[in-house]
Amino acid sequence: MKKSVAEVFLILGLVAGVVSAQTSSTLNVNATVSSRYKLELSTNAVTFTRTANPMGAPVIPQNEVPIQVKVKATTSRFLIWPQSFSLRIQAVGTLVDSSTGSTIPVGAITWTATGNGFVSTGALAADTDVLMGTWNASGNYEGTITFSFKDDANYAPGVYRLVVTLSVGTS
Amino acid sequence: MRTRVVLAIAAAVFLFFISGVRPLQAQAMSLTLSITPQTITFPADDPDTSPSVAADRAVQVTIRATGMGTRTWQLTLRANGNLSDFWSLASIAISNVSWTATSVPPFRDGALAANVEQLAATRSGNYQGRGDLTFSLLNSWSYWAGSYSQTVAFTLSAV
Repeated sequence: MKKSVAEVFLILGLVAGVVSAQTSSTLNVNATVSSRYKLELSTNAVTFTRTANPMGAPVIPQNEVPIQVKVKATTSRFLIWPQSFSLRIQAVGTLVDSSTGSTIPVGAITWTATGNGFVSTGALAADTDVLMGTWNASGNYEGTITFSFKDDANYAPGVYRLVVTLSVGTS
Repeated sequence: MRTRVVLAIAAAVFLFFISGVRPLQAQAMSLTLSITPQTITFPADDPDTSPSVAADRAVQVTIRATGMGTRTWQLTLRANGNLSDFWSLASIAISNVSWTATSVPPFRDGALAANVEQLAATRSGNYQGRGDLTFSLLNSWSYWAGSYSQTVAFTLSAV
């Protein structure tokens, strides 16, 4: 009987040695990624200059180089269905010459765009959001936008101004 | 009775070989490990302003290795997969998680890898001390929004 007890201690002692040669703990790691949208433009102003006879209704490109646009987003999805998001542009009012009160419809302003997800061509609409791009995955999307002004002989000479708002958000 | 003695010796020899430790050392060798906290969180942040997001707190790792003689011990970190979000089925590669350590050496800096043990500390002989591991997540606009999680096994062992 004494030997049996000794045997048990011998085995347990060795097992204890094995166990104490390694020990573990677990760390739980969590990460939160929020939905986030950001828009970056290389400039916040463009100008057009009437340089030709407006009788021919020329299309006048902006005087500046194309606007570099960066649309950045971390969007969500449920299983395989993503939350799409878009870039939209809205004209605030119409083109106005403040010294004379003359106006030009905002529809005279058009654009062409390059880049993945950007709408290649479009025109402004009074007090209406117009789609300039749409995406359905998180990422950093870059493109260019060039605005143009479609001249018309009926537009009185003057200096016209217009504010437009570009925004990025869920569709 | 003789049969029992033979069986006991056989069992001892078997355990000796599978454990890889010498019986005299095994009885004295002791490795203890504690980590606190046992949960860390990377908060959401703008990838432009925070290209690397630090966890909300450092992990304090306390190691006690006794009876080691000249043997070497090591602490390894093994991520049990990538960071994953249950609802979106999205994942973030766990290799984007790295750590910096205090008490260098025996602790060292490193980065996690999915299902691969990464060395976080090693030394020969006895040791009693603490190292703080500060984890960071490489931030990116390409991540899907969500709540991600994963477990990381800290293992202290004699080699």
